[in-house]
Order: sequence, then C-alpha cells, then structure tokens
Amino acid sequence: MKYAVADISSSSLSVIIAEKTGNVTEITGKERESLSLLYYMNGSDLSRRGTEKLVTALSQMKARLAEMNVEKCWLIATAALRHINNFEEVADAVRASTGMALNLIDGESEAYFDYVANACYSSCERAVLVDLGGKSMEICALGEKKDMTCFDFGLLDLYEKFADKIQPDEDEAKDMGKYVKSRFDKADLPGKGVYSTVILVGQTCGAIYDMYADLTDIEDGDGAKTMERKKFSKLVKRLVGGADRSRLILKTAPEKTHVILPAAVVIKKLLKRFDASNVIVSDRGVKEGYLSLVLEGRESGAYYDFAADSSVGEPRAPETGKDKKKKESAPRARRRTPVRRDESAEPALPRRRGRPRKAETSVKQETAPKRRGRPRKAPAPAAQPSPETAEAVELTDEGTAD
Amino acid sequence: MKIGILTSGGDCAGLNAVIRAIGLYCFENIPGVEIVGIPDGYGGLIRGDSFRMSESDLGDILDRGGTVLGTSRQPFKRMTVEENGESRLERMCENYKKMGLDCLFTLGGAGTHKTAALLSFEGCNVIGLPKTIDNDIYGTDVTFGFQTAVEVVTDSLDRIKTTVASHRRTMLVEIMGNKAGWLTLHSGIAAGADMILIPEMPIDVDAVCEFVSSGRRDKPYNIIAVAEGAILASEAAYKKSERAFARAYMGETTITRHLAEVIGEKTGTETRYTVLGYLQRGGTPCAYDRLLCTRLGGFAAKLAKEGRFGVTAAVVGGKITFNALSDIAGKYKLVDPKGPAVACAKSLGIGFGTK
Repeated sequence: MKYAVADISSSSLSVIIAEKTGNVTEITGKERESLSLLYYMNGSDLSRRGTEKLVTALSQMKARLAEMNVEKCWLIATAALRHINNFEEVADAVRASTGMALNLIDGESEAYFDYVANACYSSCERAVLVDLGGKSMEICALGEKKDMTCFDFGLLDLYEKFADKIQPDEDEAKDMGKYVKSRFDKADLPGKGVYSTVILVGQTCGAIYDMYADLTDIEDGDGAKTMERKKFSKLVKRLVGGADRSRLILKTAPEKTHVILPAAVVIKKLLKRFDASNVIVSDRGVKEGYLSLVLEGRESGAYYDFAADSSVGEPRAPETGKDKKKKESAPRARRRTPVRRDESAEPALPRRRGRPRKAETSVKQETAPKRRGRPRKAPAPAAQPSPETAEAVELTDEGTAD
Repeated sequence: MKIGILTSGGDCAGLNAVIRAIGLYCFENIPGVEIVGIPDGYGGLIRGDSFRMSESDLGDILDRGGTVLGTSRQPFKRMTVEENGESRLERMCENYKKMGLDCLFTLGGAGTHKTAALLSFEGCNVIGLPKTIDNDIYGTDVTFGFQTAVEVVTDSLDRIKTTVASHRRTMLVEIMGNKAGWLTLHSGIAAGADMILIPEMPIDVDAVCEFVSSGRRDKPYNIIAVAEGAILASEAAYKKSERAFARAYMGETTITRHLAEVIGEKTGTETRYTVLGYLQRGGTPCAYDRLLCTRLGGFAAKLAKEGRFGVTAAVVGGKITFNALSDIAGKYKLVDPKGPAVACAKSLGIGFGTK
C-alpha cells in the first residue's frame, strides 16, 4: 500500500511517499516544490494569487502521486497557514480544486511529530533535538530525562524583529544573537556538558546543511549529514558579511532567504551554549512523524483517497489566528499511550521510544517576545499594500485571457 | 517615487514597448514620479549611470525594435566575485542607493532574473519582466519577444522551403535556443518542418537518417529545424562544458554542421545547413507582442505603485499575474517531450530524431 504526506510550509510544498509491506513502512520517495508564500501575502491574508499558486502546486503534486499509484495522501499545514487570517477561505479553495482536505498542525503537535520521526537518534550520546520553525522553536532532550522547552518565537519572528532589509547585516545579526542568548538564559536552557549531540530538524536546517556542504565540498550521498563546529562558524561568518552570501542562498534555498541567517545565528548560539561536538542534520521531520502515527492509528486527520477521488475523515484541528495563539500560550497536556511495535519486523520509520508524556516531561513554555529597540517593520518582504491597493492587485489578477 | 528601468542580456522585440508601458502608467498614475533609464543593463548600474526619462522619450517607441536603453551581458557568475575589494553586486546596491531609487525594473531573461533575485535579497526593491526569444523563463506561459521571433523564424523557414523544394535537398536550419527548444518547436510546426530537433530530446542519428531516407509522403525534400542547443543521444550523459570542449576540438559550437555531414554521407541526399543567427532577435515587435508588452509593463508598474517587490510579472493561463523571484530564479521552463505540442507534431508525422 502506498501512502503520501504532503506538507505546506511558508517556503515550499514537500511530500514524502511511503510504501507499507506487512509491518514495515519504507519511505520510497521525496519531492519538494518551492513556494514562497511570504511574497503572496496581503497583510495577514494569503492573497488570491498565493492561493492560486498553492492550488496549482497541489494539483500538480496530486497528479504525480496518482501516477505513482499512491492510494492515500494526508495534506498537512504547519506555521505558514496557521498564522494567516483567511485559512478557511484557503482551505475551501484547496478542497474545491483538488478535493483534498487540509489538516492543520499546531506548534506543539509539530514538535511531537518531529520527535517521533527522530526518536531513532535517542541512541546518540546525550542527544538533543532542535526544531527551528518559522514561528516557534522546540528543544527536546532525547535521553532518559526528556526535558522539552518550547519557544513561541521562531526564525520569521527574529527576521521581523531585527532585520531592516531582507537579510540582516552584521550589527543586526549581533543583536539577534544577543536576544536569542537572553531568551535561552531566561528559559534556563542547560549549559555546557549536558548535551554532546545536537540533532537539527526542519527544512531550514536542511538548507543550512546544503550550504555547508557546498562550502566544504561534501558530495551528495547517503551518509549522515554532520557538521563540524569550526566549519559551521565559517559558514555563519560568510552569511553575515560575505560578498557572495546571496548567491549562496540563491543556489541552495532561494525561498528561505529570510530565515537562513536567523537559523544560522540560533544554531551557533546553541552549539556554543551546549558546547556540543556532534551536529547532525536530520532529514526526517513532521511528515515522517505524522505518517508514522496515522498508520499506527495514534493520530487523526482527513486523507485523500485516490480510488474514491475524495477526501475521507475529518480534517485535523482547523484552528487559526488569534484563537490558535491563545491556545499556544500555555502548554497542553498530552495523553498518548506508547504502543508496542512488531519487533520481528525491521521498521524503516523511526520507532516510538516512549515519548515524554506530560507526567514525566517538564515542558517549559516561553512567552512571545516583546518588541524592543527599533520599531516593528512589515512582516512580508514587500511593503504591504493598503486595503484599497490590495484589492486592486486582486482585481488585476482577474485580467481577461489574451 | 523614483523608478529605474534597465534592459539586460540579448535584445529582442518588445523591450521598448514594455519601457513605454511602465513609463506611461507611472506618469499617469503615480503623482510626482521620476523615471530614470539605466544604460547598458546591469553594466550601467555597476557604473552608476542613469538618465532622466520624460514622457516625450516614451511616446514613439512602441513599435521600435531593440532597446532605447541599450543592453549588455553581465555573467551571473561574476556578480559576487570581489574585484578591487568590492563585488559587482555590492556596487549595484550602492548605486541603487545613490540614485535614490524606490524601485528598479529589470527587463531580461533567466540570467537577468537570477541577478534581480540577488539584488532583491540584498534589499533593493526589484520587479522583473520576462523577456526572451527562448520562452524559457520558469513560471510564465510566455515571454515577450518570443512570438515575434516565432514569426521571423517561420517566415525564414517558408523562404528556405522554396529553395529546398526546387533543389530537392535536405536543409538543416539552425535556430536560437540553447537550453530550451520552444522557438524551434513553435516555428518548426508553424512552417511545416519535417523534423524538429530540440535540446530536450537528444538525437539518435540513425533515426534522423532513417527518417530522411524514408521519402515520406513522396516529398523530395526535407526541412529540419535544429535548435542550437540540440544534442546527440551519445552526448547526453556529458556535462555542457565537456560537450563544448569536444565540439571546440572539432571546430564547432553546435551540432548542425556535423549532423548535415552525417545525413549527407549516410543517406546520399544533398544536404545543406544554414544558421539564422541574429536575424531572429531584431526588428519590430508583432502585434501580439506589442499587446503583451503593454499589458505586462502596465501591470508591473501597478505592482510598484502598490509596493509589491521581489516579484516578476508573468502570464499564467492567459492572465497577467506575478511570481516571487525566489520561486523562479535559477529555474528554466523546458519543452515537455510528452507535452501537447510535441504530441500534436508527432501525431502529424513530424520527426524528433528519436526512436
């Protein structure tokens, strides 16, 4: 049986394809299409053009999945759509055009799925999982003591808070670093000696690794993606003030221009704080974790049934905007029961190894950052059109065919 | 609001029509707007050259070929290389500031868009416009200049056909298009070419010779439209630089001459080749391009008025719209060998040099 999970993020539409034979689920394919949703915003709404881009990308992806004989596909969305005001409108447009229902993943669940996908790294010495998202960051120990600290600010927040232009300059990067350090201090994040292996999760970390590999001439391969601290520091230096930083980003991850440097700054601060010697960049994340859980029946969500050509089940947590933010301001209790897996089979997906349940896990929830210093700038890279002009853009989209 | 316009890369029909549309929209709709032309593409921006443009500069250029601003090729690879302690990109960003620009329109092809993305990443407010006779810019159905080039090439093929038919020859006509074969495909179909060879479909020489010697439909002649970037199936595994090296050794830059020789030897037909070259770029834009350029230019200027930067104007499903530069820079729109145009041509018996 072939399954797929497609994820809409702020910079791409990515999909994993998995095949389940008996008790073994194997990831057989991955695809990614860049989709810079930030450039298609009208204030806090995704513009009609943005919705159109999303629908087109999804339709093309759906056609490719059908060609691959995928039977079920779960469509999930994380921070990118979680924070837009017109989520319902976008979800309706997606469903009307593609028949696919959107499952909205909240920040805490996103962290959990990442954890599930990467639990295989528990065997690493004093490992800590670092998930850097656009609107939140989670740091979770993988050892016996399963501390998890959630920060409700992310890479996009750092960009918005500190960068005047698209990429921060040297001074802005320094300010960003100081701020991040102060937040880590405030959250009592462990210092030297507690963790020796840092597992980086998320597509931005993957993009950072691609740049690192480009600079250090690492060939593509199946080997583990590891980074050396010294060489990583050189990369950060280049990203802050190098003449070719934009070319480097354009070559590897143009859709992540706004978050690459903030991510590099955060990782540098974490590595310094932990004094960790091993850095691994994981290629498993939310999609893998979610798929693992839905196949085990421990996670819900609507899926698209290719045979029936329709969506089956209730979409997951369709909450957006302010309501969502309110919920995220306090940690939610989780009740998940560990499920034994068939030990005779060789699972290709990460196995659950006792996810930190509420009772045994200390979850620290950081509060939203207060704006300090310079006045807040517009969140989107382009100046935000006024309501009147925004409407004008939308009307222009309706131009007649040539 | 101060707006800069530059045209970069190889020229094509319609550049002036876009410049005119941008300018006229701005003068009509943005109070107090100042428009400056930046000569010689990114070269002018690197040097910091600009000149003020008035409405009278724009009035009479709709149907004029080339570009009133001048253009030059500035390789993308050189943009971030430091020269005398500063890269070209840094100089462009400095000059953008010195000129006091609020927005820069960059009219160009795929390379121009990559540099435009760099400028955008460095904080300049850039809006791109998709110009190229190759029609290979990702994210847009069509680029301006393409349709005029199709007209020119089709007309050339029509003229060649009368000679070829009279002499009962096989004629290979080399058409521009290094990475993408859109121009060859469209003009080849429009002119009724017998065979179309494009970079996206590597050529099997035996298949080509078999096609030529088959004397299909009792035709005593063959017109073969060859894109300059067409490659042999045996070369497909090599990198572009390796192919170029091997061809340079043979004294060739493209495959056309070699293919003509092989066809002549193997089939015994009198075979000739001709290269259309720069004829394809110049001249007056056709009516379709004039309309497209006017709509694209006006739309792009509207985007500037509304403060939406880091994007490029595009045509999608017949509508004028925009794409983020970060989504399209560095990508190419290539002919799909399984797409409708190729399928249609194949169904009519047009050969593609494949088995």
